[in-house]
Amino acid sequence: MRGTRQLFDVESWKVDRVWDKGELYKKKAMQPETLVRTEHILVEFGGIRAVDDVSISVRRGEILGIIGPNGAGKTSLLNVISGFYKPKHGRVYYKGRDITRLPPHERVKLGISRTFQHSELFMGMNVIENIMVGLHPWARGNPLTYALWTPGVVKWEEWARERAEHVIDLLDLHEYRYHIVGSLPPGVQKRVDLARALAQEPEVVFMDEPMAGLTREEKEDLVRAIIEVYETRGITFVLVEHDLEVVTDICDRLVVMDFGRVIAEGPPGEVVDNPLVVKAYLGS
Amino acid sequence: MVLEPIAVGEELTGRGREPYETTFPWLLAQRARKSPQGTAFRWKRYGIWRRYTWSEYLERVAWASMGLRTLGLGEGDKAAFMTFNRPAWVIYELGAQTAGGISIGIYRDSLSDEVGYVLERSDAKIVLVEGQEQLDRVLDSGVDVERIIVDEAKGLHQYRDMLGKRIITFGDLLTMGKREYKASPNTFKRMIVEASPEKVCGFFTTSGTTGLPKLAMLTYKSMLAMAHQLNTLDPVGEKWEYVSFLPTAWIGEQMMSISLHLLTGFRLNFPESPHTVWRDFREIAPHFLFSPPRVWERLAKDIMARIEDSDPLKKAAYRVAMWIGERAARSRLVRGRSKPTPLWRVLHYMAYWLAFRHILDKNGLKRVRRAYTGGAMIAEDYVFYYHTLGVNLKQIYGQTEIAGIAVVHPDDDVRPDTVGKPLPLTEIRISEDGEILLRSPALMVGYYKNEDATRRTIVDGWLHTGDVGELTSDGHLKIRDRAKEIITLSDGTIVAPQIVQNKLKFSPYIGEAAIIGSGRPYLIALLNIDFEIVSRWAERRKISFTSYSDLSQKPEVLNLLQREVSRANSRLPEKMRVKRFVSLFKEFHPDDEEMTRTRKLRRMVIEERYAGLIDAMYNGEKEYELTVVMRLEDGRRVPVTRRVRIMSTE
Repeated sequence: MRGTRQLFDVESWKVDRVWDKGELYKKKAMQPETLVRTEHILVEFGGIRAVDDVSISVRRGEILGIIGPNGAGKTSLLNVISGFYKPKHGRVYYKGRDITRLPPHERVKLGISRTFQHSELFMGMNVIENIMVGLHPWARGNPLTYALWTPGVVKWEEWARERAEHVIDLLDLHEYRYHIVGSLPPGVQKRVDLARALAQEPEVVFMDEPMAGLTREEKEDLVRAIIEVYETRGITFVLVEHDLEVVTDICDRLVVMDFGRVIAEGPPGEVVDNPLVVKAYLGS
Repeated sequence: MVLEPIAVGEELTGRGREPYETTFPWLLAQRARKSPQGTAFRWKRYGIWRRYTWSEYLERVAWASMGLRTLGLGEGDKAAFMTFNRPAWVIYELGAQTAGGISIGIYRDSLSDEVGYVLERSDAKIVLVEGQEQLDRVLDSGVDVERIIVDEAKGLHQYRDMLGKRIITFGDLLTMGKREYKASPNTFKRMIVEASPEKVCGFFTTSGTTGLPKLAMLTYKSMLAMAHQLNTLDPVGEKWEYVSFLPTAWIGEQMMSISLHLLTGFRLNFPESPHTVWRDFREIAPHFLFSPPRVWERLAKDIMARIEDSDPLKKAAYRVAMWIGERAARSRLVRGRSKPTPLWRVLHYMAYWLAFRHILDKNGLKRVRRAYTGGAMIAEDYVFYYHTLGVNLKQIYGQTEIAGIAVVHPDDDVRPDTVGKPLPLTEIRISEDGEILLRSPALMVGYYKNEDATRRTIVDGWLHTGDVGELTSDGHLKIRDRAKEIITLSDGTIVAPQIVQNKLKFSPYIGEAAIIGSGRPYLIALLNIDFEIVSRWAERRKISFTSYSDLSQKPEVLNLLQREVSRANSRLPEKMRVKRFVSLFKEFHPDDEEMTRTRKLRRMVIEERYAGLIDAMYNGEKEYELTVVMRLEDGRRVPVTRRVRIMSTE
């Protein structure tokens, strides 16, 4: 429960606090450091190699784009990093520590969060509840203490609610707070998904096809939200994306995958002109 | 840290002979002295209503005024604000006034050129903006204000190079002021003591239905005189709740959240965001509120639409209750204002407890003791509607030039066809050509930098309102319309378009109606559908549509409108009936200059813009290809052409 009280200080005006905090994070983010590194990852489904000997690294303070045509193995790689798949071969490191064997909720505690392609939200619950579920790895107590609503549990709930409220404020979700997620438009659902990831106060957020199925306006809103969070909180983003336009606009660096392999890597300007990339996207 | 009580005087009000001859900072200091721990306002932040006491309020005003002083705001300098209803607004406004400045409100959704006009016209030195959107508008306006203070710091990273220099956050202002205050605590006290009630404390933009807005200069005394008069007639309790959600630049919100708040000390509540106003409103359930007719219309249409959606049993219960309630309300409001018979009173009482109370509760109106409507004319039907439900809705009449309110209905004398009786210190007279003249201590000093207009408006201490009206034998004021708005048909019949418009707008499906007919043989109407309600109606009937433009042109919708217009016509005299109408594929919008920022129609602009369509309507054509230039949200202007059907009601 790090530093929750100071966030509720009425004495000073809240608004500029957040901004100062963002600056602080930004400065921290400026130090070059590899956050996540994969080494020779291999994932196989039956006889198909979904991810084939992939080594990438994510640096602190960047927006990295992982692109590639359908079935290139982007989502599989992401699932390996977030712990949903166990690679057949290869290792995943987070800040130099080997996390290949850690379960997903342990990785969340370390600072790796993710969002999902088909937003895996609880459609029958409201926005607040969905965000608070994301804080479950920090939950204390057991079914009995929850049933009895013991002081410790109450305190935890308050802490979780506070965190959720700050993310709601950051992503302008006030008006949807008590709305059932299933009834919200896709653009808002994606924002709720991002909010759930951000409530975990991660250092790096992996987003799986965030722009899929959104209208142009919704895309613009989401991009604005990502940039806002990136600028004020200094959080590193990895976008696994299909939409070349969005990716080339906001990413610092791109990794291109095809048939499970990395075929190109570098700044967006260079990568999109690479003949291999053009071939992968348009055919020969 | 709680500020030491400032000992400047014993009584709560009254530095001069009259209770209203005082200043805002003085009243605030006295409030903080009398009840330092009492609730001054609440603000919903991070999902929780946070309480701020009077001493915290005073303390922050002290910091803000010292901060603004440090930024160079001196005696008579102008400090503008462009923000939603948040504590930063009242703190900044009072801070600026204490520092000797003059405050000016700008509507928060104004476009850059409108912002530029007000800033330029008022010589603003410092401006407070709500967030990035408003900041952009101020920067785009091209007016060189010295400092811009930003309340909500989201998105500010884009302006990093200007930050800390030309742009500072509201938090920085308070921190800076706090330091200054600690260094010389007596400066603030001295500023409070030295301020004169006769000092101009704010400029207020007039509504500008017929031209560019003018800046009315009001003093502390005139603002407080208005609040004092209202409070004498309708006393407000200290424990009463009020929700602040109307435009901060509007005189109506200023007189409630600033003048009346400081004078009577009720509890002010600031909603979380513009999108959550109605939920927050319901949570607070205020004891009194003041809103323009459009808010009342919105609420009523919402209730009616939701009743439409409910099950048959509830619908039937509502109908029975309405039938009883309306009879009781009518006999109270019209029939010689005699009280309804005991039987009807009992029935109304039962209808209230069985039906209306629940409807009111769902809409946050359960605790309302007094509800005011003003700023434009309200349809009589709505007055009946709310009195049927048991809401004490009273009309007020006033103008920015006289600090908001001049005429109001006394509690036991509400009549739907009048706007009430003058306030205790207000005198009223009707000139020979029917214009309403007003005189009271709340009168403005004049228009800023517009001596001509001042001379024309204030003659021998009487305010010439430009409205046409008459006095009834028992002293009630009846308004006809703005003198410039009155329509004269080609046969010489005089029509007040407001009355026709209000009859049409009582239909839940009609959102807005512009009545045209000057120099023509009969009246026609340009209609906007109420998108929310018509789209629900269409969904129930399985009519598919994509957008406002699409829905507004559906044949089913046009037939619906025809029925609604005919129904309104049946309740109007022959000459005031609307013979032809169109449903526009675009809503009237302030960004297109068709409305003022307080959402009043500018009929002159509309008549000019739709001249081709209007001619076609009088020529008896069946269809017309209408081209309108629409302004998109990102500021681009695009011409849109569509065929509209001209409907006839005969």
